Parts: sequence; structure tokens; C-alpha cells
Amino acid sequence: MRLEEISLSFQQQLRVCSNTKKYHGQFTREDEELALNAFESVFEDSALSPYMIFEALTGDQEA
Amino acid sequence: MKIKSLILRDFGIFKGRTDFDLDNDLVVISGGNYTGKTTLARALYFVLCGKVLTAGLKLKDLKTAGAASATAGLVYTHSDQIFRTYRSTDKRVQNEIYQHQNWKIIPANAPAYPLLNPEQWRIGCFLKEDELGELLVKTPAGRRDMLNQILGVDQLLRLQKTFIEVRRISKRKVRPLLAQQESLYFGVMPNGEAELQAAKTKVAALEAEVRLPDDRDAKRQLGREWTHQKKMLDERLKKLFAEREHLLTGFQNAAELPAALEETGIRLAGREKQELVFEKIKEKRITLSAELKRTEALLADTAQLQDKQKCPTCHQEIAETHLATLESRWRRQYDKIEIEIAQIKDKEREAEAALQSLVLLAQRETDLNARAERLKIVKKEINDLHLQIDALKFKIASAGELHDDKTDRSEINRQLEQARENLSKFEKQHILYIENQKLIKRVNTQAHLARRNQLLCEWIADALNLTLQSAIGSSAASIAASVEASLQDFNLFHSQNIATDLQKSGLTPEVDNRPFHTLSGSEKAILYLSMKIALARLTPGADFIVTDNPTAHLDTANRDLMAKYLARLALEKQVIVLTNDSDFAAQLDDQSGDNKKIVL
Repeated sequence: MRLEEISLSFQQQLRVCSNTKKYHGQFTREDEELALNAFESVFEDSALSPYMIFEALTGDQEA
Repeated sequence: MKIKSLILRDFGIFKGRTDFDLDNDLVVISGGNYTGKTTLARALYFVLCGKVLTAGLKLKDLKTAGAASATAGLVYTHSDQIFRTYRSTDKRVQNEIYQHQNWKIIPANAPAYPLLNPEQWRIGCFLKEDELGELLVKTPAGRRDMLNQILGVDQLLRLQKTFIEVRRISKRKVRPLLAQQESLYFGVMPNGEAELQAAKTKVAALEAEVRLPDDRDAKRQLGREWTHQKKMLDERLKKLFAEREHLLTGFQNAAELPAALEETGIRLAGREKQELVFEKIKEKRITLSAELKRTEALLADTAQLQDKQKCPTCHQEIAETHLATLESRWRRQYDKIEIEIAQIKDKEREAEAALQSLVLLAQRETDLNARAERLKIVKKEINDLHLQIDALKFKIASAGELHDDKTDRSEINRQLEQARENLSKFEKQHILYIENQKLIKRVNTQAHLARRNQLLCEWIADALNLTLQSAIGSSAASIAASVEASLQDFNLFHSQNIATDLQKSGLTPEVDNRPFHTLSGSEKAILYLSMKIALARLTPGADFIVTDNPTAHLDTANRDLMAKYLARLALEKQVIVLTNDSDFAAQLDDQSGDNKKIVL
């Protein structure tokens, strides 16, 4: 599957999730872009560790 | 991509260089056992992905015995261009493009053919003779992994695993913060603000007392004056109580006085009437007395006339009988009036006595009224005194400590020292409380952030899961439709109910309510081929299929159907059939006249 297709599908699913009770009103467009960037980074680079992704997502340096 | 030719050098049974022209939609390669049919399939697979198609074999097993290495070359068209790829078992790869009548080398790490993974090539483009058996010995999880690779969602699965780990990290960050929050809440300290303020006030009061001793003496003096005033008021109160007792003499309690007053008023209401009656009786007695005097005068006149012959007024002669009648008449009248007077005097006395008693009653009423008025004043005065005494009592009580002559300066200093110690203790406690509050606030902020991060990670993981499900779901539906169409061609299953979850069963779906393992050998083979074709359709670039002995397990009728099916499939994609069944090769030839035949 191509990155563009799967990335678009992932973005749609992020929005689907955002409309659920659990996540409603919790995240902004910026959060969505952040998630999408993380997704694409992991898709393209399998060497990225979960800790690095967590840090990129949250800015938490202590991970 | 479409295969044009295959070049082998020292590859398996093919020693030296051997070229195979495969440039046709349907290529039938027939030959007996050990003629190299399966080697051709292995060579094609090796060129495409550098792996060995047959399980258990290693790369070194591909070369011809005694050769240093085996090399396979593949000429193919892709995107209207011709490419050539050479791959050797010593891991050398060379990609070339045919341009301007020449082969030009292109980077080895950027092959022109579709970038499919080995599993996609294997399932999408190769049907091995023993492949179904290999599939069935795999575990369900292994089969599912294989399917995921074929569907191209293995990348997504990798992402899912990674983000699950990210979510786990976020959870791990939250857990200690929650524990810290909990411990802070359990160990929360009391505010102590009220105690601190009370201690401060006490210290301030004692310090003021120490600084202003005169003020204390003045207060003591005031206390003594208040006590004296209270004594005076107490004495006055006693007198008022005594007067109240006196005013209520003759009564059981204060409530009887107004009742008696009311009763007196009622009784005095008939006083005027009684006076009127008395006046009338008196008037009548006076009238009767006057009448009696007049009658008495008449009697006297009559007695004077008895001695005279003639009337002194009219000088007429007076008859003695007439005088006797007159005297008798006046006598009777006189007696009657006397009796009436006696009677009326009795009534007059009675009325006078009644009147007298009413006068006395009026006097009592006046007295009671005076007592009632006074009682009111006394009561009010008593109440006022009580209020004044209470106020004085309060003042005296508040000044009690100061009034206590035993309290001295050393005692106050001792109290001050104690109060300062308490204040210091409360101040320390309050500082600790403030520090504790700051810590709670900081931990709360951190916990809130960590929880949000956790939610963010969960959000991504959930969205990824849905993406995966969506990708698998759409692929599975497409596969099911394709397989159903293929099965209709073979006329094998009646109710096209293949839409069973291929992902769940791991490529061994239940058909017509029959578990995969209970199907016959030919049914399994045909169903499996149908699934492979369906999967290949989902794999862009898997535009050919190499089938090795596709008629194994098939009876004559099904072999015929297989020939028809492959011939029809050749209209859609390039089909390379490897068979040791000459009859089947002939059947294929019958189905498609322009196929390429290679006999090994």
C-alpha cells in the first residue's frame, strides 16, 4: 500500500476516532498533524524507536 | 510486469547458460520428472526477491553441482519499458534498462519491477505443487501473518506494534504520577490557618498587655465599679420585689388582679340604674310625705270646723254628718299614706344600702386600678434592672481575669512565652502545608499532561487499528468476491458463501458450512488457487502466475475445467504452466491456440 493512500486512510480514522465519546473535543488540528507526521515518520523509517516517537509526539524528554 | 525471457547460468539442473523465451500470455512448459520445471519456478522467484521458493532449501542449493554460483536473469516489461535483472547466489544484483538499442545499467537498489515483498511474490505469482500442504502445516497465526504480508498490511501491523509500544510508554509515565497523587491526597496536611490566626491573636493580645499595664489597672478599676453598681441594682431589685408582693396582697398571683378588676367593672356597670331607682323611691317618699302633711292639715281643718256653726269662708251652715264623713275620709287617706310611706322608706333603705355597696365597689375599683398601674411600672422597672444586671454581669465576667488580683506580670510573661512557642509551631506547620500544596499542584499538572499524552497515544493507536481493519476488511471483501467468481467457473460450491473471514481463518475459510479441512483434495486445490488469484489481483505488479503441476489431485472433469480456467486467466495476466501431464498440456493447447509450448 502506498504511503499517500494509507496516510489518507489514517487521517480519516483519526477524525472518526475524534468523533467518539472518548476523544470528543480533546484534540485539535495541530494534534492531528502531529499524529500524522509521527505515522508517516514510522512508516518511512522502521528504525525509529517507540521512545523517539513518544518524545516527538509529546515533547517529553524523560522517556 | 510481464516476463519476456529467463536466462539461467549454472542454475540447478541447467548447467552453463540456458535461455527460455517466455514472451506469451500462456506458456506451457511440459516435461517429465527431473527435467527442471520446478527449477524454472525457483529461478524466477530468486530473481525477483533473492529468496528460495522451496522451504528447506538454501541459496547454495540453487547452483549446479560444482559451480561457484548460480545466476538467474529475467527480461521483463514494466510500464512500457524493457528491463533486465541478473541475480546470483553470491548476492550480486544487476538491473538494466533497454534504451536506444542498448542495455543500460541502473542502480541495483532501485529495481524497475514492483517492490513486492517475498511473500507477495510467492503467493501472488507462484503456485507450487506442494504449496497447499505447506500452508496447512503452518499455525493459524503463521497463516495470518502470511496473509497480512500478501495484503501489504504488514507495514501497518509494524506501525501498530510500534504505536502500541508508544502507548505502553505513555501508560508507564502516568502510573507513578497517579501513585504519587494518591499518596499526596492520603497524606494531605490540615490547613492550620485558623489555629495560626488564633495563636497570632493571642500573642498580640498578651504582648499588648505586657506593653500597657496601666490600661489593665484601669480595667480592673472599671470592674470594681461595675461590681458596686451591680450591688446597688440588686438592692433596688429586692425593694421592687417587696413592693410587687405588697401590690399583689390578696391575690395568689399577678394574673388574678386584672381578673378581679374586670369583675368589678362588670358589677359597677348597674350603678347608674340603681341610683335612678333610689332617686325615684326618694322622690315618691317626699311626694307621699307632702301628701301626708296636706291630709294632716285637712284633718286639722275638719277638727276646727266641728266647734263652729257656720263655714268661716262661705258662712253656710255646717252639717255634722258631713264633717264626720270628711274626717273619716281624711283619716283613712292619712293612714293609707302613712303605710305607703313606711313601705317606701323600707325600699329607700334597701336601695340606699345597695347604692352604698356600689360606692364601696367603686372605691375598690379605684384602688385596684391604682395597684394595677403601679404593678405595671414595677414590672417594667424589674425588667430594666434585670437587663442592666445582666449587662454588668457580662462586663464583670469579661473583666474577671483582669479583676483577679492574683494575676501578675510573671504569669503573663509565661503565657506569652507559651503562646509564642505555639505560634512558632503553627507557622512551621503552615509552611509545610504550603509546600505540600505546591507539590500537589505540580504533580497534578504533570499527571494531567501525562494523561493527555496517554490519550493522544491511545487516539493514534485506535485510529491505526481502525485503518488496519479498514484495509484488511476492504481487501477481504474483494478477495471473497473474486474467489466466489472463480468457484462459479469450477461449479464446485453451490451457495457462494466464501465471504468468511479469511483473516480470521488464515486462508482456510469454511465453505458451504464445511470446514476447509473436510474438503476433498481437488476442492481444496481449486479453492486455494482461487484464493491465490484473488490475492494476486490485490497485489499491483503481480501480473503473472507460475503454476507448478496445477492438475495434481484433479480428476479428468476438473482437469478440463482447470484448462479452461487457466486459458481464461491468460486473458487477464500472463500464465506460465509447468506440468508433467502431457494430456493437460494438450488440453491447454486446445483452449488457446496461440500459447507458447516448451518441452523440457
